[in-house]
Amino acid sequence: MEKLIIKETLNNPRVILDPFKKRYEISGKSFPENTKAFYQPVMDWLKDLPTPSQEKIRLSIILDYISSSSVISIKQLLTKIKEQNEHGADIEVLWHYDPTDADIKEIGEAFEKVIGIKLQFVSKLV
Amino acid sequence: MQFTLLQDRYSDLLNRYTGPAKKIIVSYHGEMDQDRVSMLSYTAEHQLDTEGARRGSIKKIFNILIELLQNVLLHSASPEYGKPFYFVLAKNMEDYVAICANIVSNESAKKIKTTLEQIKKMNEKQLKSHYMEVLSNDQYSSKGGAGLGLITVALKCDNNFTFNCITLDDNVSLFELTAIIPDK
Repeated sequence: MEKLIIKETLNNPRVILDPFKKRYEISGKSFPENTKAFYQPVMDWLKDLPTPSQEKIRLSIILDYISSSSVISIKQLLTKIKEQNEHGADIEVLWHYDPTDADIKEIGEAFEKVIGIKLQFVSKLV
Repeated sequence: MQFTLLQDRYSDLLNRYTGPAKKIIVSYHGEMDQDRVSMLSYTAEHQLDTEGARRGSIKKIFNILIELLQNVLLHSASPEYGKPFYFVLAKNMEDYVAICANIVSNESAKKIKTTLEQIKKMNEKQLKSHYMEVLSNDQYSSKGGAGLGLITVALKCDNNFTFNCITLDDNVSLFELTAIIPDK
């Protein structure tokens, strides 16, 4: 498993997928110009995960804004995670949300319904 | 290519929202690119915060602005026309008004009109269920989400929006959307 790091900008989130430090995180605001191109390396990283896997991955998604086109790309990532788990990977998704803002939690709940994936909801401290 | 109608309407809007109990918060007329999306939405967020807008309103407006501005970026007519647009965020009495206009192909104008007319007839419950339906559908365009952005705008402004499609010539139309967000 290779390491994948993408720096945060004004419109794309930070991505850290680091098996060496065991740190897996997507955080910030997500409204890149081309969401498909932005999330493609993350998709490729997930596709390349060896399955079955001995190692548990806890992926934290900590987004405070998700544009509608990012919603679609993140849905595709979560669908891939579900597929990989069905093939023997062990990825747990921690979906962080601000309890004073209903949007992000609602998007997570919509993904659970549409994809049939179980997310661990984590309320941010406010 | 210059579109005088775009310039004229922009000037009219600036006049319309200048005066007692009215205020222009952010406005821009020019060519669209991704930096402009970030610059205008962050400037709007900062200005709204400075003038004491409620946190909930700021969040809703930020959502609407990104969707409207990214629509301009992704769905403007074609390279030969460029991506001219205008954008105005103003306060009118107790409401915030976000207006965004750009040049789209006549074919796109027809599609947007049909989509928005459908959305306009829906109540909140129907809008949410339509959002889920579109999200469940895997037939997305290469540029985005089959209208998920427009449904998001409608949800954020409680379906309080109007739109205009004005045919400019055989190829293109001016598309303008106005969303009203009460500061509550």
